[in-house]
Amino acid sequence: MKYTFLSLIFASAFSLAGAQQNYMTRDGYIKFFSHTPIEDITAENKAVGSIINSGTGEIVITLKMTDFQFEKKLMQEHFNENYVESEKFPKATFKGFITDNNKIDYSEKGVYEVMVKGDMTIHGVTRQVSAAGTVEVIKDGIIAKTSFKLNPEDYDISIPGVVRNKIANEMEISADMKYEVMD
Amino acid sequence: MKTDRIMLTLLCIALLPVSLYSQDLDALLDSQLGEETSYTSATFKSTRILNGHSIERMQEGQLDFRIHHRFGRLNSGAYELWGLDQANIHFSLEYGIKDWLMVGLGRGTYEKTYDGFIKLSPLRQSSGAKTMPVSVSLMSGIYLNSLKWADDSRQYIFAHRLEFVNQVLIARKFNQSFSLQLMPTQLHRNLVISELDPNDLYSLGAGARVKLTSRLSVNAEYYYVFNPGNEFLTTPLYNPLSIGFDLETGGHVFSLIFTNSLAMTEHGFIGNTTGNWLDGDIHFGFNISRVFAVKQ
Repeated sequence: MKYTFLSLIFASAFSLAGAQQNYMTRDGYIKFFSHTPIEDITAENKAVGSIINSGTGEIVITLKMTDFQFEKKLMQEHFNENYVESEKFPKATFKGFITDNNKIDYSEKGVYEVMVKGDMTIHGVTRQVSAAGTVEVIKDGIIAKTSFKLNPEDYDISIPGVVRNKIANEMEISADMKYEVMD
Repeated sequence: MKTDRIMLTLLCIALLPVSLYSQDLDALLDSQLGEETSYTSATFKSTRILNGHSIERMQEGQLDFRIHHRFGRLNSGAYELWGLDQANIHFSLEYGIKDWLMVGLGRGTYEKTYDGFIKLSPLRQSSGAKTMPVSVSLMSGIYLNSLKWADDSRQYIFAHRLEFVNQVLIARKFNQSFSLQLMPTQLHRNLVISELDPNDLYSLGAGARVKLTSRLSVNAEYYYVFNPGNEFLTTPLYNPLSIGFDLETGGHVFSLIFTNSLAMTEHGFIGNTTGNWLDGDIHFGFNISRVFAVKQ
C-alpha cells in the first residue's frame, strides 16, 4: 500500500515535470501546387502560425486563407471569393499529434522522420489527415517539414466544369516551418 | 480491491492536468497570433457598376481591356430592329499602377470622345484589428470631344473640346450578397450649347449590386442630376438609370445592361442623357472586361 502510493506520486510527478516545451512560429511557410497540362498554379502562405508541444507531440496549425499569395491577383481574388469563400471561412486549421513523438530527443540536435496525424479543417469541413514529415532539432528551436496531397473537393470546394481541366484533382501541399522555443 | 480503486482514481486525477494543458494549445496559439485586420474584397465584380465607376480598381500590374457597347433605343421599331441596327461603342485600356492607383485611356463613339481617368483608393473597408465601415475611391476624368466643329463662323479654341468629371465613390459591402455605393459627382463642361445650360452640373449617384450566385449578380445604378430644370435647358435631360447583370467567367466579366443613356462615359451619361425610361427610350447594351496580368 505504502509502496504503491509512493510509486503513484512518483509517476504523476514525472508526467507533469517532463521536459515539456512549447515551440512556436508565426511565419511558417505552406505552399500548394496544382499541375495540369493546361496550367500550373502555385500559391504561397508565409504567415502560418503553429505551436508544437515537445512533451505530448501535439501540433496546432492555423493560417488565414487570404494570406495565400498567387502570381495572378485575379486568381487570388477568385480563390478567396468563389472557391474557398474566405469571408465565410477565414482560417484553415490543423490539430493533431506527432504519433511517434517519443523518438525525438528535443535536447539533441538531429533530424527525425516522423508521422503526423490529426484533424484538418478547411472551408468548414474537418477530415482526418495523416502525413510523413521530418522534425529537425536545432539550437533553441525546431524545423518541421512535410509534403502531402489534398483533394479540394473533399472539403466541399466546388470547382465548376468550365475550369475543371485547369485545376488538378489533387493539390500538392508542402510545409516548411521554423519554430522557436516559447518562453 | 478497494485500495486499487482509490489508486486508479488518484491516478486519473494526477493525469488530468496534463490533458487539460494540451487542449489549451489551440487557445494559446490564437492568443499569441492576436487579432488581425481583414480587408473586404470584391465589393463589386469589376471597376464599373454598369455605366459608372465602382470603388474597385485594378491591382498592381493588371491590365483591363474593356469593350462597352450600346445599341439604339428599344422603341425605334421593327425597321431599326428595335435599336439593334444602331451601334455605339467605347473601348479602353485600364491599368493598375499600384494596388491603390489605376489609370485608363479610352475612345468612344459618343462625340468621338477620347478620355482618360485616374482612380485612387485611399480607404478600404476592413474588420478585425482595424475597422473601416466603407471603401472610398476618388475618380477624376478628362473627356475630349474630337468632332469637327459644327459652326464654321464661330471662334473655337482647344479648351472648348474638354469636359471634366470628379467623383467621390463611397461603398460598403454589407454581406456576401449585397453592396451599396454612393457617388457625389461634379461635371464641368468648358463649352455648353447656350447660356441657359450650366457649365457645372452636380449629381449624386447611387449604385447597388445583389449577388445571385458566386458568378452572377444583378446591378442597378442611378444618378440624380441637380440641374436647373428641363424648362431652362436647351435639350431636356433625364437622370440616367441603368439596370443589368454581371456575369463572371474566369478572366472575363460580362455586363448586360438596360439604360436610358447612350453615352458610356461620365460626361455623357450624366450631362447628356436625353432618353426617358417611361417613353421607352431604353438602350440595351453590354460591357466586356478582360483582365490580363502584365506584371507578375
